[in-house]
Amino acid sequence: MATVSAHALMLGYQRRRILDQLELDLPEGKISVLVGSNGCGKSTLLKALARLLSPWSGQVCLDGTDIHQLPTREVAHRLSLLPQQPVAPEGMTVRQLVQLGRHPHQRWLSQWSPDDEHQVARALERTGLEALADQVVDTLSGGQRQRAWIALAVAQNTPLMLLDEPTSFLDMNHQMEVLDLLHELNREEGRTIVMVLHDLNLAGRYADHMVALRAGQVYARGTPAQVMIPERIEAIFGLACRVIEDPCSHTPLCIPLSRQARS
Amino acid sequence: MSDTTPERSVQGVGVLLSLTALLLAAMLMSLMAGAQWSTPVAVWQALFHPSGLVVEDLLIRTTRLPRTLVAVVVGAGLAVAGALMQTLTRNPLASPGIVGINAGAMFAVVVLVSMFPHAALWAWYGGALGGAALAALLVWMLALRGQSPGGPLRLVLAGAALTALFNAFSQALLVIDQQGLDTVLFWLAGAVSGRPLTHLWPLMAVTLVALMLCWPLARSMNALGTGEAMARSLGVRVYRLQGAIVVLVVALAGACVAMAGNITFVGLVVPHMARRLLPADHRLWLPGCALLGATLLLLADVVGRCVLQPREVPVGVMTALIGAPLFIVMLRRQGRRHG
Repeated sequence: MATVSAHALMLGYQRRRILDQLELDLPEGKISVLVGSNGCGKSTLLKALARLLSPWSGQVCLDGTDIHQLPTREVAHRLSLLPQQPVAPEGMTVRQLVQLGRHPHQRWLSQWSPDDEHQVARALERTGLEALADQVVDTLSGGQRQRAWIALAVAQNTPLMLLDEPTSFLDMNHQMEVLDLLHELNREEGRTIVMVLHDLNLAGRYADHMVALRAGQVYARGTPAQVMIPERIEAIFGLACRVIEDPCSHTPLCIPLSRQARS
Repeated sequence: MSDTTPERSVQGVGVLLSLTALLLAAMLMSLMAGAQWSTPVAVWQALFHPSGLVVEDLLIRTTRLPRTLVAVVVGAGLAVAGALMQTLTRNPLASPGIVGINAGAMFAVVVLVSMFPHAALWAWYGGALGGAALAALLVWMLALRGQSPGGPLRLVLAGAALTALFNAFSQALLVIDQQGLDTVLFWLAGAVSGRPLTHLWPLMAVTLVALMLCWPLARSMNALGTGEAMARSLGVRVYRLQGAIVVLVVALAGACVAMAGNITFVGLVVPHMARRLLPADHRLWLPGCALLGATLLLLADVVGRCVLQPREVPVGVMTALIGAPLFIVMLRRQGRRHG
């Protein structure tokens, strides 16, 4: 059970309004992807969903309750977050990083329990990091490092996972590695995944549900096939394009048009 | 410290035990060292079977024992204060010395001395704590608030500016007030000797309590190491934790400066050394910093007692003399490893 929704959400930094009367309702047990051009508010929306930002007005609801009414620890039991470009503390090993995922499940004086142990082992196995568990995080490749952060979220064992651009700055093979892993976590463990992706075609391939933002509001939402039609893409990104079917995954594939091709 | 990593945490506990042994050895050395070195047997006699007739007993009990205890507490306090600053700012260059907290405490002491030359000692101590808090507040306003809070560069720049400002004020006051200069010269150089324990025990108590209060926060500090957003999503109440860390740093740095004056480099260098010896876990790292800081300050004090006999080099000068080259070596080695 993990439903997240936003109602009449208004939010911004200083005086600048980023999200404007935004309404959102994300399907449970699916992969939802937020897309939109730079500065449209997709990362801000994700932070608001993760309770990192307080709305000016309106509310974010987690399982039907206003998220700001819930205690921090309770929220940490229900949702995990992978921020953009997280940095591991110097000298920290993969296993230590993954163990941090058990933080919300421990109390002041409580000992490390067999369940904590089990969840960490499972997260390492799930993400294929057992062999790297005692390596220092800084020494890993970009894709491995991102997998270690996802393993932390897996150990946190929340029904809802939020990820802010988990593939940015990764090579294409590592992008696929990370997205395949998230796809497995969704399909095999039923975790609800909400992420921001800046690559529209990867979003189209992996999303069950796509939400396109424009000027702080939801401009279009639905399956990738419903959202990724040329007129809408032009409105969202200001980009002329053609959309064809991806011959491998049969999802929509956006081919941007250069100025020469248009004329 | 979990069951999953027996090797690592056992290794960590082993390191802590070795550091404890090292500290005990340094304490013994500090009790022995002086113009006339005492034997361990004489130290034992003086501590447990003192005779009022032996001068050596008196020397050990009234001079070397207090300075040994002060060095242990101050060394541990400064090192942990530095470690906490590094955790708070996620900046390996932060330490109370670097961000101006020590200078703030010094400044407050100088102001008190020049305005109320006959103020009671407790007023000086209170002043040092107040000055440390004032500096912490200013750094927080300058560097940790605003649009892109907590940038490492901003913190170091704000700290350097504050240190320069406080030191300039202190020096101006001392130039005007020659008599005050004599009183605080000892503080400016940093020293662990020459003051009776009867006056120092409240500050030692503050330091020890602050050190112990780190323990229940250590696990949350591990989570804070991954960044504020991540820590919050792990269920850490970040503002509360950061507030608690600032209060601990002010208490530790303020009390230590009040006790021993301007001792540099311990807060900066010791956390780095401890990080090399111990796994990245505050439950091991913070005790390691305390043990190592105490040991280093003791050794600096012993060396300071011996090099220029019959005179003594203030321990604050010694830590800078030892700490600066050590720090440069560490920076160079680190550069090589990453580059």
